Amino acid sequence: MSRVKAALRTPWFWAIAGIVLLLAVNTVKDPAYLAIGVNPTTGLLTGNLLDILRVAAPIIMIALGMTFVIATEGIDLSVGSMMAVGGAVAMQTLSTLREPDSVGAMLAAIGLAVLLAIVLGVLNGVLVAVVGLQPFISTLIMMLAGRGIARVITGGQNTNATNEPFRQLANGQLLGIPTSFVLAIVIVVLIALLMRRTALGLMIESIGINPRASRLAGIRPRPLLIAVYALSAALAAVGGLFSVSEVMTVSVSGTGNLMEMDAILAVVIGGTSLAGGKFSILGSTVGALLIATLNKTVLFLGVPAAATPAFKALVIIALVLLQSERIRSLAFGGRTTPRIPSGPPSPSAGQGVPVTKEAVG
Amino acid sequence: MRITQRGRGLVGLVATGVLVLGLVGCSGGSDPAATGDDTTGGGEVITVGYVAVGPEGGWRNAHEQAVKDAFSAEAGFELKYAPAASPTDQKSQLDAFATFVNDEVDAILLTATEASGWEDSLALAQEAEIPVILLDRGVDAGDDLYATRIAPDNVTVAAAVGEWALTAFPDGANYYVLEGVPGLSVVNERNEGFEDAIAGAAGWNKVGAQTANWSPDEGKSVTETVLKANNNDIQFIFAQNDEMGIGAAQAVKDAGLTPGTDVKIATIDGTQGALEALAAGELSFVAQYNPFFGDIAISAVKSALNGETLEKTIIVEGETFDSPEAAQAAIDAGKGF
Repeated sequence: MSRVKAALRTPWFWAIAGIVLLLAVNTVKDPAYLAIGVNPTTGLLTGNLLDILRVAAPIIMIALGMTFVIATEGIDLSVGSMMAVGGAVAMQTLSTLREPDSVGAMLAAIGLAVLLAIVLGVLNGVLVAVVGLQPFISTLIMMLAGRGIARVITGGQNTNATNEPFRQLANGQLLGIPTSFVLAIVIVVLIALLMRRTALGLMIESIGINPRASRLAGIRPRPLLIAVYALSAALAAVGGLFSVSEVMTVSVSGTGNLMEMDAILAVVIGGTSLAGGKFSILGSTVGALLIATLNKTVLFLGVPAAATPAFKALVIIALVLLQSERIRSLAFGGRTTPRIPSGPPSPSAGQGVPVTKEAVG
Repeated sequence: MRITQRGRGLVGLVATGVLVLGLVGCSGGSDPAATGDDTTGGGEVITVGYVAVGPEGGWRNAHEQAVKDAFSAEAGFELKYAPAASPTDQKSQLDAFATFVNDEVDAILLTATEASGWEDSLALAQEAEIPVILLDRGVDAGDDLYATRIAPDNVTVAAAVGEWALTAFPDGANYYVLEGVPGLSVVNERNEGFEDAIAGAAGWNKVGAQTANWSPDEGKSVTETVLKANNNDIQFIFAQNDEMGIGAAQAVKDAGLTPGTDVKIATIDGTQGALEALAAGELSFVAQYNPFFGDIAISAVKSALNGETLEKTIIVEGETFDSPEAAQAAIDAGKGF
């Protein structure tokens, strides 16, 4: 019984419930929804579930980076533009190298894309940690500049390229699962190990709770903050690589457009507080999967384009309400007082504290 | 007509071309001082100020280059090109416009970054008897303040797609529309043009419409799910821009279908990538949103300087490409952008 209660209190439990519900609705519409078949022309497995996993991969990447930024009480609005930058670098490199099947060209494209993203991410981090700009503003600048940078890289064109190994990133499968999703999960696991098996995650959370106190405790926030923004940018570039490898074209205005909103939603649905101070990597991953499932459900149900934003908003509002301690106690009974978070009684670190403008900025 | 220092130097260079084109009499007769410069053979350089948007994307680049190429020295023009500081910076455009009025250029070409806020500038130009010709974008001002607006028309371009679809599917089809970013007038106009063109034809069944935000990967994602939800029973996809159509073609292939045979895809814009995809048989039809209207702008400038009254809107007709051969010919002719 207590285990059930604990599960109900885990924010991402409701995200999983949401995914299951959406899949169930789709299955009611078409009983063959969950079926996995084999495509006779390509020999690959095909099915709606695999499509969801594939389109979730870029969202997982940007949500993962966003998780750590938000844990430091920051926000990274530039992830969508960073996807375009990463995609633009990759496509431009591949189309310049013109080696259709060379793995070397692919690695060069990936390497350059991630490298440039890290440089831009460090710039974000320096603006936040050294110059002292609000994260909202500095990453907003980078959000606008990123598209311009992508445009400069491709010379204003929507560059396309051919490189079979690179195309396999999104369109290939490993053991029947889309390669990009497998890679995304590997990256998630590696980063989760790095954050949780070392003190890194704890230090990031402590900056989010109280940067001054963490500095007194011997944690230097500046290099950590810069690293967090660089990581976010690098992961966004990887997400951009997944996106462009789907179609082998980068659209300087379309790739990653408005994806920063998806990333923030995924992180919040996953239970990371916008007030900073704690993060849940698993939660963000589940949140990203929910966003992907939601996007695909809208299409599968044939929700009219005009009603789509409202439909999505309803699902997300329902989820966020279910995560609220107060609403849950009203709906399911039980304790009415919110759980007191263990740790220092910082007003901004508590669960269920309403998100204020100040906390976002 | 006043001729500037730089223009004077060009006179000798362009004299031959001017003679061939017979531009005598284009001066508009507003300034008698110009007659003194006719020593090179009666030709005059027409000075045109171009208040432009500047680097914005493939279409804009192709369009502005076409204008610059058309208003060449050989054709008897001196084009003063003034791009905005950024594609949204109206202030720099207003400044450039005022400078052109002060310099007393013969005509002004204007592509406004913002529709509003141009009344005062346009009135100044009118006072100075400088005709203003709007290229591509309109402004929220009385149409007596400018000579004409030359632009391609989204409704007309989308209607071309609809007309082609009627011939490609005489018995109708199940079709799906990939729309651009919701709420834009472009999206509504492209919907309107296409719907009007196929209205009344039998057998046309709209399976649905969804935005793919102009982006190729979203075009692919939307299409793959829509095909699965409808058991691949879709014969025609209307993508409102090239990128979404290119993505849709990938999804069609991944579903084990053949683009062009099982599912025909029509797109609007006519970018280089789309022409290549059409040449490769992945798209079936591309309607060009024509950026190449420098020559129309030239004749409008000449007519305006001759004191003729122009239509307030001149719609630029776009070409359409419906076969791999046509696409290849267009690529060879450099019509992609």
